[in-house]
Amino acid sequence: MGQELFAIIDGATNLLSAAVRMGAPLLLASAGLVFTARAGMSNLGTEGVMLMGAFSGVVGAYLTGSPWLGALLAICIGVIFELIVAFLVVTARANQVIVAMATNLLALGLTSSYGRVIFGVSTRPPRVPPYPLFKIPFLADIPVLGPVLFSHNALVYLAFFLVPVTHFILYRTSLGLKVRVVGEHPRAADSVGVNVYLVKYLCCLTRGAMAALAGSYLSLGALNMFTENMVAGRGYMAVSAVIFGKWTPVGSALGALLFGAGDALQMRLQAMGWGLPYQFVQALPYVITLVILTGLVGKAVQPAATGEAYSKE
Amino acid sequence: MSIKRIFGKGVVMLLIVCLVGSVSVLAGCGGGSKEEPAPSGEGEKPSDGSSSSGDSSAPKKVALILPGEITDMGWNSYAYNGLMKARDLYGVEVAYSEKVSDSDAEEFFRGYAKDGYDLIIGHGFEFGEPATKVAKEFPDVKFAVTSINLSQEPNVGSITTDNPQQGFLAGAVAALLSEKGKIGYVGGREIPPVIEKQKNSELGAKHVRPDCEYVSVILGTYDDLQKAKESTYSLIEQGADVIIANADKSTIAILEACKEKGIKGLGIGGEYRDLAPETIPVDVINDASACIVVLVEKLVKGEFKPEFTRIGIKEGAVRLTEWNDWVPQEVKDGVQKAIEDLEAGKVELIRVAK
Repeated sequence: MGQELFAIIDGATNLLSAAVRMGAPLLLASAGLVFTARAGMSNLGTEGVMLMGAFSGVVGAYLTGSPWLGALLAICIGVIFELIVAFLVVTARANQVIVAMATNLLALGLTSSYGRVIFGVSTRPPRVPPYPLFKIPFLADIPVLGPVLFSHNALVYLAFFLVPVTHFILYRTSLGLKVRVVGEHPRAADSVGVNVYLVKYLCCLTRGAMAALAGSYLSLGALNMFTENMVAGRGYMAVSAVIFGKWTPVGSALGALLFGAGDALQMRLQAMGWGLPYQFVQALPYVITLVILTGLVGKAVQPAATGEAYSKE
Repeated sequence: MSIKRIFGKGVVMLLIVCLVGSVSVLAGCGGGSKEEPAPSGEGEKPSDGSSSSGDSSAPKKVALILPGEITDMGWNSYAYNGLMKARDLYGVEVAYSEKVSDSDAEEFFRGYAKDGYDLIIGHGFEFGEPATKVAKEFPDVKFAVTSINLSQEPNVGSITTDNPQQGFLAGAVAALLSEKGKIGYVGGREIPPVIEKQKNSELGAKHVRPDCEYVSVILGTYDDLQKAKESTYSLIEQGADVIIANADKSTIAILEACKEKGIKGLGIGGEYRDLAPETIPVDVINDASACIVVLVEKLVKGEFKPEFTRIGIKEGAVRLTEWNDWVPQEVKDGVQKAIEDLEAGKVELIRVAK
């Protein structure tokens, strides 16, 4: 009996720490996405920016030998990429969904081609130094909680740390208020002297930095290499997490962790070998999400001016 | 103020078009194509001025349609290497397209046929249908599909390496290496070759060790390396101490997880042995490049027929590499015996592919 209990606790610990590892990139990205989403902008280009981040992180680490300089390069590239996107959707008022699709395709093409230019067409992707695992002293030794929360790399801690920070910025500062007003009613914001364009640009750049960092978590944290299309849909999942969380930082974080947990559970159900069809098991996380979305979360209302380009005239 | 007023609407549209347009140039997802001319300076090339011998002396043109990237360290890399080898061996002119989706395949076949290619190879069972369809429109062009059993008069043939044999051998290796008698399998998408290897690796494991436990995870994708790694962890948590990885470019992440957790792992579908010599005992090779070489050889010799060919252990298309040092002799002997049992026909392999 005691042994069984021990096995269950052990299993739960493994499940939860996998959930945190799987949820971390979504969590990181969503810290930027809430800003753009609240400013009324479409986030569908996140996948591409994450891919750019995953790639440039590895390039940076490859060239300098340091994952942290890799992260820095990832952030720079993410910001530059989003600057172009912001120019297109904010200044040039192009359709956001179209630009997002172009962003994703461009990122896939750029990273694939330059990956081959820089690393060559070889059967061995170059290995780079990954983000080191950092166990927080003492806390990491706590049973269950230790392995789940305090035995990760620095980006995971950053991801958790950013949840209250984004919450604070969004709800307790004037900048956060401006962001929210721009998303709801840009003309009203403009009439009281808020620079709508500047707010949108800032949100975009934040998103770029965070999404790129999230991408680098995949290439430098979970693994230590870049492969083509390695983000594998996580950009869209981060977008879903933000919608799931009703465009709030805390809700988005819960969404991100729930998605991570769903995936972690799905793998374990398969590994148990109960003979369930794997398609059913793989769909399970999404079924759970749907049930929670429709049953528990209630009606989701997006910022009123979402997807609209703002023009002063 | 508005940028549209300053530059005009056309400029903005142009910018967007450029952005989208550059993607296709950059080998994005529409399937990047590349042509590689036949190596010049080969002896069989006719000398200048006297090239009146007609079409028959011009190098044959071979096109390869790939479902993934040539950098995947597995399925597609093999085919690419095979194509390059065939080019060097037979002096054919070659071209290939990467990341061709099932739905686009037909257009790629048709395009190459119209461009005067003599042989168009679809690398993967999923290209069977488009190949047979387009082949009817171009009776003079040869079409071939790998990893499927199909043929159509007069111009569609197919070839496959013996996936079940490879799965069987990998299972035998894993079961003999396992300390706890529990092995795991991580597969990519649920497609006939992956399922065939899954079923036969279980068969192989139980052939050499009847009490061997077998657990498996199907990823449903080849791109998601983090998922591959985490799935491997979950198998290890279940007590598996040897993992068979069959997930193309994700294989490398699966083996990485094995290395991290200090267990053994082997990848099928590529050569991984030197990646983590202390983790990987041996590679069970399934040399898809041989398929391409054989097809081109048949074309050049004029022996291409609408028939199905299977190449396996006997032809050297399925084989084991050298063992890493630490592997115990009894494991090697056990695997050798499994190979002999296979060749003697003592095993009935499970074949799911048509």
